[in-house]
Amino acid sequence: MTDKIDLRLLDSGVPGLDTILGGGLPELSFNIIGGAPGSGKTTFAQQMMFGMATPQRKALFFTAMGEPPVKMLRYQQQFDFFDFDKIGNEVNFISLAASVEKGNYDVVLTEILEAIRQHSPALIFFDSFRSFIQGARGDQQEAAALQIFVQRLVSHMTSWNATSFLIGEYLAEEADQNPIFTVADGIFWLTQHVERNAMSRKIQVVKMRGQKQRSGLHAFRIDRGGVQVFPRIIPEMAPQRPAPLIGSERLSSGVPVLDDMLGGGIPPGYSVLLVGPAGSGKSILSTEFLNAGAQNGETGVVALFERAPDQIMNPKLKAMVDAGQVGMVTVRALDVSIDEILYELMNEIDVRKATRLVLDSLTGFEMALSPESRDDFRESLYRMATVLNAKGVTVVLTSELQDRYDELRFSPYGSAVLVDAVIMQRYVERESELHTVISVIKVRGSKHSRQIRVFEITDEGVRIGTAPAPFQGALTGCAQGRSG
Amino acid sequence: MSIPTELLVKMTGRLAPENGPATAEAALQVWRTLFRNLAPLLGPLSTELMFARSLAARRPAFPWLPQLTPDAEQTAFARFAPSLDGRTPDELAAANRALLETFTSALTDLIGVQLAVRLLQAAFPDDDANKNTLEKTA
Repeated sequence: MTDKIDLRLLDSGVPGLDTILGGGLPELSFNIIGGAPGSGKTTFAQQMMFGMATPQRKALFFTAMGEPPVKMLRYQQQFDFFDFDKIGNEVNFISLAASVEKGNYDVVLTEILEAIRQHSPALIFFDSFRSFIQGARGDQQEAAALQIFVQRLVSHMTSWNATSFLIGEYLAEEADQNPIFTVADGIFWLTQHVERNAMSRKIQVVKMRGQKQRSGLHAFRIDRGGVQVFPRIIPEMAPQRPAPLIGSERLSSGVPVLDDMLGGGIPPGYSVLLVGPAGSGKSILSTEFLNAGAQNGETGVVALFERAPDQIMNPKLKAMVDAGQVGMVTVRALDVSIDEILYELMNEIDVRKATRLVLDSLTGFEMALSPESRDDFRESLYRMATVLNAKGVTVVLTSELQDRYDELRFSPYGSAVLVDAVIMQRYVERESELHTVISVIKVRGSKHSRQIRVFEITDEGVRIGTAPAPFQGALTGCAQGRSG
Repeated sequence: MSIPTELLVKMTGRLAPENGPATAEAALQVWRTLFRNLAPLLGPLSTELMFARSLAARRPAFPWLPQLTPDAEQTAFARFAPSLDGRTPDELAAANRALLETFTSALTDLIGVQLAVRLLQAAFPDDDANKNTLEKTA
């Protein structure tokens, strides 16, 4: 037995939030939810309120002048978390607008205390707390008066045995000057970032006493279900890479000749970059990779970024999806964050216990991200590759290779250094006819073929030559017949 | 959008207590009950403005209802209360029924039928729930 107080943690009711809080919201904590207008503060607060309120844990939501309560009710009920059955029972709203308009902190505090006495809430919300300050008149506007009011309010809050929240349109620089930030146990900061035509939302838990919260900015989305937080996935410093190489069983790529070229298949947990020009057969090859897993009783996931499922669905992939051997994640929005995609992928991988993942393609992946996330695409790829690697998932990423014959770049994002293996496809011209060739550029820690082979898609499937392509100068794009 | 007829009937029934004729005091009590229950939730100003708009909408049919001006110092309800003096039970019942229809309709337009019905039912619980109490509250 210990003398330390055991901080009870409440399930916040906001998906993903408890993860960045370090397990949940400490009961009886006094929290501030800050951010600019439109950042989602009220929605965030009300989702927590409806999520946490029970008949034994009643909630009281005070509104000041920040937003007319009637408007708030009108719009908040559009969210799935708004539970009509809780209104008037577990959840009560009190408008303080009249006493705030009088501009006297004493009047405001008296009304708050009376409502608390009447309802005995365990959860108390004030929205917007800034209105108290703006509503104050004359000498009440002085910082000292505000500080006294805040101190009295906070003192009362402690005695109420309640978890409390102040919601306000604070500015980041106010954190240094406003006394309430000093006394708060928890501070949530909500922001929205607009770049070009895309808007992304971020949440930061600036402070959470007694908890080891996950630092930094985390993406969140507001849709009909309410707020969903996508905790920023941070790879461990020394990720547990799968012990791969010598003696371990490799995974089949689905094409036996390619397995030979790779030195016996793909080491488990490896990330393989498959680069090639449009139409060279990358998606078909990826399907073979998933099919090889399915034949072996493994499950896989395919993430499609640039095409709708019906555009890419070949009969083999469709059969695997229909049979539940492959899960599908489609992302076509242009404003998602890397963590949102990672969250969906991880969820799908965990649900299906998948061991194989295909990302088709990196080009579409980058396009699906918000412009802000695109700036960090390389770092994002690193995080993703590391996390997937630590999970032991073997990944095939396709990437479009711009066929330029005066230079050869495998990866516009520098992704070749982030992956463990690189397979390249190219078009070559010979006697006025386009041919496709394939070669293995890199397999980390493993011997592999360095030959350029002919790659064909036939009615029977993928066919790769078993000997070097019968021409030379393939990398120049203009091949000559090879004698001998 | 409007609230269910039976709920409106229950509210208008309070205008005429004990199945007798409608009285001014009973009508005022209905409105006080509404304001007491709605104002904390909707905000006092929104509640006041909804009532003022209801008065303006129904005044053509009931010219004795007060005409409100934006610069009036008194609240709409403070102007409304004395206007009921000297009105017949039928006039009181008809005017207040019309006002309640308009007011509740505006309420449902603002916050939706589901929430409006919930709030109104809480303000005017079924009489069955109170049938065993000695004290009758208006």
